[in-house]
Parts: sequence; C-alpha cells; structure tokens
Amino acid sequence: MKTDSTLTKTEFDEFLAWLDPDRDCAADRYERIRNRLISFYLNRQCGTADDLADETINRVVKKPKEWKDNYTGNPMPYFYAVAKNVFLEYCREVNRKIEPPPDTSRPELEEHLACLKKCLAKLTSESRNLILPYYQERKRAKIQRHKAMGSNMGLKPGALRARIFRIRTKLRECVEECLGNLPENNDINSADI
Amino acid sequence: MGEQSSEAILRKYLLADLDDVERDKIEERLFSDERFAEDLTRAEASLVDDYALKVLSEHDRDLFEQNFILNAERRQNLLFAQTVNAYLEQEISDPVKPYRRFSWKNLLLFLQANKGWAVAAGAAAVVLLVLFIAGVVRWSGPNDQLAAMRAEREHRLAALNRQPPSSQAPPAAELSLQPSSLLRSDGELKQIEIPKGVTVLNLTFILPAAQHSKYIVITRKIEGDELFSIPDLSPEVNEAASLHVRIFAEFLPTDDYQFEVKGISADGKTSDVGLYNLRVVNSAPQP
Repeated sequence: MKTDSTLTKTEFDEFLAWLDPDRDCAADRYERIRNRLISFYLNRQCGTADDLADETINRVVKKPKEWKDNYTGNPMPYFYAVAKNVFLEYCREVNRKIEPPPDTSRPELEEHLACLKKCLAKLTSESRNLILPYYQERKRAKIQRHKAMGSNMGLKPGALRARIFRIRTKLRECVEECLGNLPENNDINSADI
Repeated sequence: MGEQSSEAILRKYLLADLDDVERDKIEERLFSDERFAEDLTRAEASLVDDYALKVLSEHDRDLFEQNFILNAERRQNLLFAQTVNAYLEQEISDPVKPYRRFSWKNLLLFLQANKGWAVAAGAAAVVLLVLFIAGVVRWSGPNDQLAAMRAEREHRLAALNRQPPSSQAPPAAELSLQPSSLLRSDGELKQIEIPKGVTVLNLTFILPAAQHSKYIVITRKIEGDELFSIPDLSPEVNEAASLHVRIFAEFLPTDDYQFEVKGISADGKTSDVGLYNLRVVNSAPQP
C-alpha cells in the first residue's frame, strides 16, 4: 500500500481547524473519526485497522486548504468515501489476508477476577444488583430475564440496555486500570452509574 | 427499525454476515448518524458478552472467531466478558459453603468410644490440621469471602421478597418503622427482640409519599459498611404509603442497624427517600 505519513504541523493544525475551530472540540472529533474508521476496517475484516485509519486521515489532512475551505457540511461522510478507496487499494495489494483467529479459549483469569471483585465492590448497590443478574442467565432464559428486569425497574428494554452498557463500560475501565492497562483516573462511584 | 431488529442487523454487520449492499447501507448510516454509531458500540459489547457466555449459535460463534475478534481491543473486551462469566460461575452459581463448626463434645465422644493413645493422638493431629487450614483460608481471602457471602445473602433475600404472602410462610416477627427524621425527639432507637424459632423479620417502612413505583433498601450497621441490599420493591398505598420487606433473622444478629430507602425512577436513577434505624436483639442462633 502506497502511504505518505509525513505530515507537517501546519497541515495538521489546518486539519484540526477544519474539523472544528475550537481546538478541544476538534480533538474530540478527530478521536471519534479515527474510532469510526477503525471500526469500519475491522468490520471489513482488516487486521491492520489502526494503520488504515491513520492512512485515511492522512489523505484528508493532505487535501489543500482551499478544498477544505470550500467543503460544506459534516466531514464524516467524506472520510467514509476515502476509507472505501483505501480499502479497495488494500484489498488489491494484500488480497484481504486475514490473520488466523486467536485462541479464544478461556485464558487464566485469576488476576482479572481479583480486579473484577475489587471493582464490583466499588459499584453502587443498585448498579451491582442490575449488572450481575443481567449476566446471570443463559440462553433462552436470558431474553426473558432481561425483559422481566426492565419491567420490574420500569425501564424500556432500550433504556435498560443503555444503563447496563454504561455500568459495563465503567466496570471494564476499572478492571483495565486495576490491571495496569489504563492510567488511574477512573471514578467508578460517579453518579452516572 | 425496532430496537431488537436494529441490534440483530448490527450484529450481522459485526459478524460480516450481510451482503455488500446491506453492509454499505449500514456503513453510510454509521458515518452520518451519531446515535446509530452508539448503537453499534452497544451491539458490539452485547455480542462479546454473548460469546463469552456461550449463548451464540454455532454459526455466529464461527463468524465471531473468523471475522470479529481481529484486534487487541476486541480481545481485551472479550477477556473482560470472560472474567465476568467466570465470576458468575464461581461466586453466584457456587456460593460459599458455611464453615462447619468444630465440636469438642463430638471429639470427646469419639475418644471415649475409641480408647487408646494412638487414636487420640491421630484425632488431635487431624483437629489441629483442620483448624490450621481453616485459619489460613480465612486469613487469605476475607474480602472475597465477604463479597461472596453478601452475594449469596442478596440472592436469598431477593427470592424471599419475590414470594407472595402465604399460609406456609416461615415464623416471622413484625415491626413498623418510621423514617429517622420522624423519630421521637429523644432519638431513641426502635427495638425489636427476635425470639427463638423466628426465622424472618417482616419490616414495614412508612414512606413519606409513594413517589416511585420501585424502591431499594440498603442495610448497614449504624455508621458501618453496607451489609446487603434488596432491590425491586413495590410500595403499598393504603392510608399511607409503605414498603414491606422480609429479611432472614439470621442476617440481623444483635446490633444497631440503619436501613436506607431509595426510590427508583423510570429512567433508572435513584433518589433518597429516608433512613430508618433499628436495634435488634436476636435470640436466634447465628450462622
């Protein structure tokens, strides 16, 4: 794949300003675009999704300033168009060589379990009593159980899923932090869970 | 597109189980609709959980392994879900068994029936070994034991409070409690003495108003850590709103307790309702 990863600071600053005049908002948009692109490539089974996302962004960064000034509307769809081209080139060159699937049998989880227990203890009672039963059921019972939980709490299934997802995200961040995979800035006791 | 069908399609997309036209439609929306992109993130977490919980069909499982689990981030996510699954299997499905108490009486009876130094020495050695192992086990993991014990208690309490009242209910003691702000000015704790043979305490919490359809009661020793909580409680509204809660007497040994009642709103948020204090004098044998 032909790539050009040499970006000047000016090019990158212009790019961020194009995304949003506010520097913080631009950084936030940049992260969202990059994550969306990684997801795009992964969902087309590209093992090097991070590299392809960066290549896609680089191509847009390299667009002339005049082009950016004349562009109107949400830039996100434009990244999608570029990503499709990058994907086609990538396909031609590596013929979508898919890495062998990893061993997904359960690894040793002792350290992870210890961290999970610590993090569960940090959850509020309500959150703990919501997320553990949610995961408890298996197979057929699972869907029925989730429906019952939703009606018991007066939540619609979508609202329940959203709340469970928030708790899950916080819990995972806490576990990753405990394992040393994330910097320590997680406040799992925050009111949003 | 309904929530279920939307998640089903997103799941197919994540597993690369759509044709190119359908896939492109999903992608176009993902790059133009923030909410749809958030739905995809949730669908991804749900898919990973289902794989870890082993509830995916064989077809989806194969696709998951071939097409989905491709990068380190997704593997980390899977590892988290597998950890939750392992926790549930260990701590919930197989709750901690109570310690068997050592009985000197049984030992003496055993020695009387089996006279001789060799037998006595052997028994003593076994007792010492058992005590040593029990001590090591207790010392090595008190937090895990407590967490598992709490989970088991909450599981039993949830089941008890789901049961409708019946004539075959276990022997119970009953008491009505007012919020602590409504206590008499001398601040005296309400007290209950649980007689022997009573296994359940029926508590009625008088609510300031029936503002919520669901409540949760969190129990702790006064100024102490949480002991257990009981969620999904429905109020009863007659002349006054109240909440009926059943608690196993064995979970409330003699001590002073505080019950924190919270209301749960439709969006799942909780709000403080009241604190209720109670002194328990429990004659029942403790676990």
